[in-house]
Amino acid sequence: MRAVAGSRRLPRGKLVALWLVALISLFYLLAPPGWMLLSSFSSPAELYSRPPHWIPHRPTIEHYETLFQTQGANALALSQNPQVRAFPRSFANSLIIALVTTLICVSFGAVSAYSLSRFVRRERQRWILLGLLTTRMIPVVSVLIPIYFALQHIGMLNTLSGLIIVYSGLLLPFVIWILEGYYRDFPIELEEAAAIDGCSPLRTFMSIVLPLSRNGLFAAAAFVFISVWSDFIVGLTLTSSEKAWPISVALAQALNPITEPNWGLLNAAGLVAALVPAILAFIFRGAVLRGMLSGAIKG
Amino acid sequence: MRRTEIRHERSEAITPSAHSRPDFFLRIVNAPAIILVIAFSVVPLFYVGYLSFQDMRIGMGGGFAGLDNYRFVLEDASVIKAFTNTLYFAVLSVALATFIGLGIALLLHSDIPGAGWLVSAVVLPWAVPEIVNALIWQWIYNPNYGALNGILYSLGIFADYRAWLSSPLSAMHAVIFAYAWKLVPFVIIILYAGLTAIPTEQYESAEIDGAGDWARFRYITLPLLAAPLGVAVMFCMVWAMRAFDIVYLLTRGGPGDGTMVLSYFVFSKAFEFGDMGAAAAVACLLALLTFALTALYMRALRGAGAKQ
Repeated sequence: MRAVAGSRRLPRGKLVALWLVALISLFYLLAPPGWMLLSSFSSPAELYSRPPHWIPHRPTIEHYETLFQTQGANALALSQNPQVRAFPRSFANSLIIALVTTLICVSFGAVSAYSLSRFVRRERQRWILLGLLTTRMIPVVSVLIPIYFALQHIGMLNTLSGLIIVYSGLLLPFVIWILEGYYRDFPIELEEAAAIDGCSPLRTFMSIVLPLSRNGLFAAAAFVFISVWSDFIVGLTLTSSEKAWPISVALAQALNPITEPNWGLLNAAGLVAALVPAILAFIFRGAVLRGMLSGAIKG
Repeated sequence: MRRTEIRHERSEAITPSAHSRPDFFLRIVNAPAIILVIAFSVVPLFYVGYLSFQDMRIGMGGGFAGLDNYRFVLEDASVIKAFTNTLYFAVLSVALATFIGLGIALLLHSDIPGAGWLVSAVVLPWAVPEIVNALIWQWIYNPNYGALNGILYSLGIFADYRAWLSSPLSAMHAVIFAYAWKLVPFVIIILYAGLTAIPTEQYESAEIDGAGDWARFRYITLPLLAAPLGVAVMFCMVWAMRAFDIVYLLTRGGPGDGTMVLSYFVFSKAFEFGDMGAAAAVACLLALLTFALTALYMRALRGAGAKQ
């Protein structure tokens, strides 16, 4: 728009039209989450009038209290939306699954990426990298059937640990791929100096390479956590009760297509579910942006 | 992918494994990652290929089925429908997202105040899980209380509320509109970075030569933006071809098979109808489609690189 709208020579009519298109686009992008936020603080009566009250006249935090079943919980809303009872538990489930998977992926991923970038012959390295990237391009739904059978076989369907190992296996290739790129650019002189001083490769890795690659590790960790938290299809397929539901599945269960759910309540639930990755993305926005630019990050 | 190639060239300079040999311990710490990757990323891919040649209907059948599954799915009208739906869905949602994303990227790149903040604000919708995106839009499209109905009603465009998701045609476009929302942030980030990389001298010399605004956009911005546009479109296509969450939550493939896409077809065939063999066959076709798309893109990229 520096080339288009930023100029004085453009006729006013065109300029207005361009800005109008831009503003409509921004509205399209920002209005839906805004409406979710407003809805989550509105009482059902305000939401269900025609047209709805866009700004709640009497904002309420009732939905959040019902969601976490604290003192102000609305017992009626809870009994009419029984699936919401699973919400606190599935929130905790998702936290556990995402944290443990992140830990596994980043620690094992870092070691493997480093080994791959330093100790593997180049032709072989090229094939391994290509293979890692290929697994990334495969639609998850395509490999879900064998994974389902595998978990069934070892009796880990509907368990948190089952989900953790599946997510780890699915995300590790890509974590290794990103971190390998990171280690490739790492100054090898430091390691040579350490080797001359008599450090073993492992010691060099632990005390020199790891601390210095903090940024790459954080980016990978944010990527894994957000991917696991946002996943729906894997959780949907591999769990069958609220015991192991991740938050995405609990949300989908509460959105019962047959009866009209309590929309204020569900918007509050959706907001809480979106808040965790949004906060992470905001804190690590530099790493996230860089990751997106290398085509890296995205479900 | 382009990055890998660049990195390979660069790696000629350093010589891995020349200085040190991996010690025994390092091999052991590598084992878990290797096992996990093989067990849950490599083996399933081969196994799903194997399954696609088996008769695996739950409760009956069993054994080798040859090409029966493929013959069955390729003759099945609902698979053909799912395939055309997927293409229609992917092309339209990516086109919409690219158009809107380009507009916003240009807006952010113009010297409007607060552009830096807007870039951060744009990253936030990207972090919204797809299932929450689906929830938001289900609420917006709600036939009784939805915001879309509310807006159109307030503006006096429609006198009555409508059920947007209950006719196949409007349901398909509603799903496309909702899914494009999820793609837009990615497009913006990629294109914004592309715009920032264009040197301003080019515009200045073009202005001296008397090029108008449209000419500058057409002959400087657009050609230099071609590569980032290609990246954005390719990645969005690959994601859109496998879109699942939004279809599951908004329409379950319905009404009829109006919004049935391949990924939902695989899921429903396998886990709702228990026909694992046919589902595996469609799953393989979907994976092949993705590979073909990626290969095509990489070839185009290499071709573009060779020209420069």
